[in-house]
Amino acid sequence: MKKWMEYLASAALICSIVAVFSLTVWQMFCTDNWVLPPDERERPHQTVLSVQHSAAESAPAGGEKAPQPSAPAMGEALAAPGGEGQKAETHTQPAAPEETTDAQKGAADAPEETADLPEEEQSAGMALLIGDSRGVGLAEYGDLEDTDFFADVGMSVYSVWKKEIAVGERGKTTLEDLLSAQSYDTIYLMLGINELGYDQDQTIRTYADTVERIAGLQPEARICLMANLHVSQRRAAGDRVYNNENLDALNGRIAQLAQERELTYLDVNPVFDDESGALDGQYTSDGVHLLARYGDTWCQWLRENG
Amino acid sequence: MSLTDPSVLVGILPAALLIYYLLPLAQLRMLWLLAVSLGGYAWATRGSALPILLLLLQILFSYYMALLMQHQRSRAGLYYRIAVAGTLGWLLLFKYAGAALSTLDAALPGLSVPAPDWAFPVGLSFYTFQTISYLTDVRRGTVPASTSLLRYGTFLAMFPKLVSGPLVRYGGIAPQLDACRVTGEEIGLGLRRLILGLAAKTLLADPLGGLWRAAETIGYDSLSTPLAWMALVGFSLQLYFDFWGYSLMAQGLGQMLGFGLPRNFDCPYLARSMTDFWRRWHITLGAWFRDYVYIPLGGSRRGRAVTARNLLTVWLLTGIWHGTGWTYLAWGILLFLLIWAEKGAFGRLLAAHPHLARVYMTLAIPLSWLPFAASSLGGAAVYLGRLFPLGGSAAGPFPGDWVKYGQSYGLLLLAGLLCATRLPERFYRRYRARPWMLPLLLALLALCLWRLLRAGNDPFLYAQF
Repeated sequence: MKKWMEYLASAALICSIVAVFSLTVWQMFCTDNWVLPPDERERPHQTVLSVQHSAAESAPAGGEKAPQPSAPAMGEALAAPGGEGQKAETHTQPAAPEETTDAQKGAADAPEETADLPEEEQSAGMALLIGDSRGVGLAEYGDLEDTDFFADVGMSVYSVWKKEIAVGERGKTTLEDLLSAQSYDTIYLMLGINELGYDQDQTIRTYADTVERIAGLQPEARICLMANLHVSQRRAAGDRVYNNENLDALNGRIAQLAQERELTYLDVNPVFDDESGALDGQYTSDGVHLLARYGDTWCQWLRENG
Repeated sequence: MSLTDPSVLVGILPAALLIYYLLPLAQLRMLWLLAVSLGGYAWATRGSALPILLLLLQILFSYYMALLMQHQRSRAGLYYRIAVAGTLGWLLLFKYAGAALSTLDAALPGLSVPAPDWAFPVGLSFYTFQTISYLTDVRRGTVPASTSLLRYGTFLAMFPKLVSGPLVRYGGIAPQLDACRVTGEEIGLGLRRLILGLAAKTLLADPLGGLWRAAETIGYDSLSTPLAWMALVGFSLQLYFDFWGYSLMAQGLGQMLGFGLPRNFDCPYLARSMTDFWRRWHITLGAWFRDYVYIPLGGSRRGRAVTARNLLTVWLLTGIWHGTGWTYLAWGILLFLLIWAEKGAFGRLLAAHPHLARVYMTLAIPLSWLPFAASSLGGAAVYLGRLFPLGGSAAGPFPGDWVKYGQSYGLLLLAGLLCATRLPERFYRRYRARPWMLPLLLALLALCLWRLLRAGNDPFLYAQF
């Protein structure tokens, strides 16, 4: 009697393993969850914040591609009188109304982020985010629309012009080629943590040169300098290089640079910090990168404040 | 003084070995070995005086207790119990005081229990178990108590096996210690083994570690199913090559010093059942539990109920030995359930159908490492949900994530799977006498050193965010 029970138990065990496995394989290959394009996929990480905005955003996003082709022509016309150093709020393109509201937004910006813009204001064309591995995280797990990402693990101001990265459907390109070929409304720059080991004065000089060069290639784009995300207390403990004091110092100098050049400075750290001013442990596993499920939160903040 | 530190590997180790070879007397060589081992340990744990003092204390304590047991046979039982308690107590203290206090703290919210801040002394688990095996062997009369503190101290503290080495019985190594003799051939063989172990660790385990780290950084709930499986397989391979590589290095170094240290792994990923697996994985630990816990409790000779109890005891202790926390306990229980199931008809089924056994093991091995890998039971449950997304979606929020990591780690995973079979061993055995084998091994060594130097030398360049 006992032997039969054993055989039955073994058979049940094997059947359940096979069933579970088959179900998984079926899920993977025979359901739609696999092949839907990103826009139509269900987003499992909808936070309460993003639900309200997704409806508002998807409507205008479709209709604003039209003004795009005119922008480079405008840009070239402006490049001569504008010259270097003239940034966001001085452009006066008479193009689509979205552009002028962009200018207004730029003019109203102090170096700190502005949190109370009306929700109808949407950036008209494409945005570009230049970043390091945290930028890669935003690219892969965030839900920013109409945004290209020029981001890679280890990216720094010293390597940003040398790297070749695949952007959108474009294939591999350098940043210079990308900025020459595609015109962007807004360019976000988030670099700094990979440079912490080097001399900060030199880093800031190279950072400033990078900003100049970007502005030279895209004079009508609005450039936003983003503060580097903090690291967690645990990660920073005992580390003489990768700690929040160094990050704050660098962020401070980036903010200063933004103020001098009259650029937007965005600091998302208050959203994810704990009381001590370090990255809160609940948002991260390795102390440096946000968990993928918070990518949407960051993107939402960026939409509201950038 | 980690063995994978390039300055040790290329600087300190050859110098220490050279002096060892040049010393004329066996006693002098033993003394030098003990000095290097203790010195290296003290340097590696120089943040606190506790580890080295504890090691010295344990050596002296167990040495004298063993002699006492030997010379006063009438009180031997009492001395044995005192000795084991005194030895095991430290392990329990360091491992579980923290966990116990924090559990107490959670249970009694009013009382604020201070969290102890001691660092766990490196190698404590290993030398404690070796000490207990020595004391038990002396108690049973299997081995005479050592009359030379030098010999005993060298047995316990010798650097190849001190930190994570194979668990060695005193009886097996004592005669070799007295001789401390090395031949040129042994040195050559040992060096080859050392290089192979280093390669496994540096060229397979360390790079593969990136995959599981990526999975942790992303967060278990955001992984797609293929990536979840890839990362788990990557973790299983990383764990294996890391530990196996280290054990090979220890064996090789032992050979270079004139000792035959026991093998710790025997292609465990080729096992046909979990029972077989645990006879091939960390062999010396399994043997320790078998000889000092399972068999003294009665083994499998006192009926099914007692066998079950003995097995459960062994696996609970194995889980606890590997770490504190509920995950390790759950892991031990999971393994007990699998092994208990295999003792019955399931085991016979597996034996009769090797293909079924393969399928079973292909699932059981990574899944049995899951509680080990995940940082908490809740995390393990979430991960399981990603491995078997019943009712949910197999795709993650980032649709091409498994393609991206497949491109970065695909070849490495393949190489890892190949090296987990008998192929490398057969290849090596077949061609080991060829003239190109030595240059190949030296090239491998150079590659390992280059990787280690790149990792250690310029943290700014290598720590890439």
